[in-house]
Amino acid sequence: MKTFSKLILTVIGIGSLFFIIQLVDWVAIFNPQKISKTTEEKLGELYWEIISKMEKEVKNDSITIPIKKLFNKIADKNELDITELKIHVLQNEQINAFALPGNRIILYTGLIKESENQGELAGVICHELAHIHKKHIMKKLVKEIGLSTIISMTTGNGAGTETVKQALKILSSSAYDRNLETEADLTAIEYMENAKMSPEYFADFMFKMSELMEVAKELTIISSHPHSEDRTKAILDNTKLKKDKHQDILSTREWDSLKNNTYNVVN
Amino acid sequence: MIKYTKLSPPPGEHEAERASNSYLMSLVAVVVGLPLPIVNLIATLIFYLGNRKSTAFVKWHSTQALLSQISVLFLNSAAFWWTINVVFKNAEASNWYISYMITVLVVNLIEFIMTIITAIQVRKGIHVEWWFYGELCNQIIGINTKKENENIQ
Repeated sequence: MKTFSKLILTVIGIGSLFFIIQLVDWVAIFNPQKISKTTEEKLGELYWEIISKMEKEVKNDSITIPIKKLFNKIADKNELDITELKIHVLQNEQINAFALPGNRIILYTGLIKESENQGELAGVICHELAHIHKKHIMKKLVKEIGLSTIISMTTGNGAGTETVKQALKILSSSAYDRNLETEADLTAIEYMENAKMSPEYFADFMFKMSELMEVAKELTIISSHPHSEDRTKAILDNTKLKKDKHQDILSTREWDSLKNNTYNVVN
Repeated sequence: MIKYTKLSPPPGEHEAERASNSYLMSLVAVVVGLPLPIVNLIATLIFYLGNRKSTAFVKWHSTQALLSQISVLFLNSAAFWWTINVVFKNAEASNWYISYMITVLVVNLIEFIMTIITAIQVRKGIHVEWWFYGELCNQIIGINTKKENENIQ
């Protein structure tokens, strides 16, 4: 009985210690969100520094203005704050878009060329916005390269350019884990529907990617976004707004001009 | 918190060293095991199993070291998985989380300091009983200790 009383007293003691400690507003003292934000911004700048040296950024207003218009309209209809978002269009033939830490989205001209209509491009944009909004980027980086590497990258201790390049490769070419991709897809559907755009166009794009990947597999090119076929099906299953109710954000003239100017930049 | 007793007759040099080592095992494992809380327990458990046939003094202290590690294991495991959820999943680094981590840190620190003090005293042949764990050890192997002490006398 004496032992049991001591056990109860020990548990009460630890519980009381915990209770007293939690009375302090530690979040205000440590501000974990601010620390995380600063780390993300530093990482984003580090990545962008390397990307801007390797790739050519498209600064042509005839391309960047309609792209920004798409982003602004989607954000506006979904009440997303994108004032800190930096959108970069890069001259690259690959069909790719990815989000970087520190609120940066990279779009390749290859993606704009491959998008048959603005619904397809908006789908990809919504997907990347979802990754940012759901804070997937840091989770992926922590998982793939480890917390210690990230810390050394941001503090400048030990991690060289090669490490940063390696981490960049992970962000731009490999997929997030299946749960994160599914969450980003479902959020993208929500964003598109709020912006009165049909997610069926996003599904079309994913289907096109799965077909391209089949060819890529035969050519033994490593696929960067697996499960595209499953994802197409999931997008269609969760779509409420059909194509006949779809409303474009850009006028036909603006879209055509964007496509033509992209071809002119690339070619 | 800690009760010191001088045994009569005092444990032998070899006995005191082995008993003291059972505490040192958990300290060494802290270095290897961070942040995995299970490593400390495994280290002390191996030492405990290795000393089952040893003298009462050694057995008693390896049991106290093991029991203290089991208790800390629960606290540390919760801290470990909570951190995993904060880093990899959607859990928030809330006030509760930070407070819990500080509590765990304080408890581990107290346990760490007590372990060092105990290891030093036991090495000198002084019998050290911890709050609650000492009682528990007495109940688990206390009778045997008495018997063996009687045999020694």
